[in-house]
Amino acid sequence: MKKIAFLFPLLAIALTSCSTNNKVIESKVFCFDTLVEAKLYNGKNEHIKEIEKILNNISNLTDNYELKSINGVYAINQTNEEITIDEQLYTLLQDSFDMANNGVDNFNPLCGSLSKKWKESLAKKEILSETVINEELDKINNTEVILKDNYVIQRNGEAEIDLGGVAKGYALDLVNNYLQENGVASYLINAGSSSIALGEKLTKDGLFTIGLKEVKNAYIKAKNCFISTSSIYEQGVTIDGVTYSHIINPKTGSAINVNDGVIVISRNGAFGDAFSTSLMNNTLEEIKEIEKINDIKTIIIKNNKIVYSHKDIEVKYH
Amino acid sequence: MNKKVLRNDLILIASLLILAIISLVLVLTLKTKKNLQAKVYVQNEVVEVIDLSKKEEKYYYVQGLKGLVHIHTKNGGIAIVESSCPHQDCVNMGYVYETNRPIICAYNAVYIVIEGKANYDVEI
Amino acid sequence: MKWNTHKIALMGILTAGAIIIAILESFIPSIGIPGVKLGLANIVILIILYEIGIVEAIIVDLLRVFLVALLRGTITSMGFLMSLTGAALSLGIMILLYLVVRKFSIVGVSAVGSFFHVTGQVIIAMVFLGTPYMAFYLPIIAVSAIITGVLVGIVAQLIIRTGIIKKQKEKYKF
Repeated sequence: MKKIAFLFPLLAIALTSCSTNNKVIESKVFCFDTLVEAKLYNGKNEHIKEIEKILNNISNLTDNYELKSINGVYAINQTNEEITIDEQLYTLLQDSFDMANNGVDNFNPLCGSLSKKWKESLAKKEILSETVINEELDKINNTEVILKDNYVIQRNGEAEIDLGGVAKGYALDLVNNYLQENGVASYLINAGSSSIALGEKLTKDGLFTIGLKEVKNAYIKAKNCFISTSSIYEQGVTIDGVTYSHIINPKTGSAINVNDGVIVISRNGAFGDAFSTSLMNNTLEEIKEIEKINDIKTIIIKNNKIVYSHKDIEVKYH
Repeated sequence: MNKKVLRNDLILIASLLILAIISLVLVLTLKTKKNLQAKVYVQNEVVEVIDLSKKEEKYYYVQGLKGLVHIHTKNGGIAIVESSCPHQDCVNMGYVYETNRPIICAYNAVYIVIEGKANYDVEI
Repeated sequence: MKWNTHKIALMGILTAGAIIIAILESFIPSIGIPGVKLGLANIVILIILYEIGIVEAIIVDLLRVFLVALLRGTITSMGFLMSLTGAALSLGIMILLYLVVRKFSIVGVSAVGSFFHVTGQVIIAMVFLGTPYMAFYLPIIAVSAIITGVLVGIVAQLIIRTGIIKKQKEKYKF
């Protein structure tokens, strides 16, 4: 009897110490004008610290409303002189113009001023006038940003650089690289629900369950990818029955979009972000063609319903 | 009484009862326990979704077909506390804490269904 | 089928009886779905079905549903349609069992009739409120309906055995 009684406490200790002590490390950072939530399932506090650093850095560099960085976007928009900028910002600008000129048709990093004017106008529940739109389009078409050596750039023209459409994705790319290099493979980084980086969950299939807010009861499962979303639903303003969003068509200057929502799953955050913005103004036919030549998978939403999803994506309903 | 007829009766009644009891057991046991939310319908349209896992004590007022229906949540349960219906069947039901027990006010076409909340890792 | 004054009088009494039972039982609250009742008035309907005739049973049943709804004021509500459908479905099945499938006694027939009565009511409730959620209560309602059905059948059989109706039939030739 006594011998058996002795076993029980031992067993209890053995069992409790066998349990996985993988506690989720969470962090919430306010940057990019929104809340970014990071969850590391097999990481350490030092990783979180670095992630916060990366996010804040890119956020400050790409801020085009306030001078948060002396060699950031706001600074560039104030001058037409040569200016030396941050290395990472230089890379982002390079990639952005690359994408805009090579297939991401409705994405243009020079829409800063046009976007701001639309925002101000919609805040007053007014539609931006044709005159102003045309002025801004003129500025955009007559502005050139020259990327020189040693991280020097020169902006010729009056259009303002706006990297809001790719900044989060780019930051998540950097975070993703950092985590991979440091052996953290299980994480979820959610930047304002519009840019998400997924590692692998610590479950058998490693898949995360992602609910689609705009479509009733719909969800998908994914891992090891970036998910970028654009939609008219959150920031849209409806005037006389027409909804105007914050996504401006750089060719026409219009704030009315072809699609109501676009979700892009990709292997590169900036890439996915740029496309999620751009595809808001592409037709389904165009999108299907684009999917064939680019490594992205999309879900297109109209009227709170899914009108198209890539064949490899399984949308489930509960 | 004819013995054969009596035996047939017993078989019939027994089989009906067994079927009903099995389905009853299923309904009583197969319910989601965690993370519940209540959906309030008026004439088949969802007018309110209430997160019961927060265990808030709160009143909700829903415009039913023939009048206002007062709903109260408490301790993760939900009840219709006041209704303009003549029979008050819905009010007499009291607080419901689990799925599989909808609260129905036919007079006002209001019903409350408790279901499991979707467990998303993230929502986009 | 002869309808003499005696028969009409008897039918009247029986119909009144069914209505009274139905109204009294309506004060017992229903479980879950409003409007689903025990169905005790079927005692009278069963007696008529077995002792007097099918047509008479149908007439009294329909009269009962209609008049009870009128008297209780629920004639314009979903409750009336629920009662009507339930009664029609259950009576239909019971007549079928009584005529064609002569393998069950009044108790069995009553149980089946009771089951279909509540099923009809629940189905109408589901159609009207447009949701499948009502179905959750069907199991418990069905169990209580089957039990009530058996009791109703037994009571009806006891009354038939006393021979009251048979005596009336012979005496007044209908």
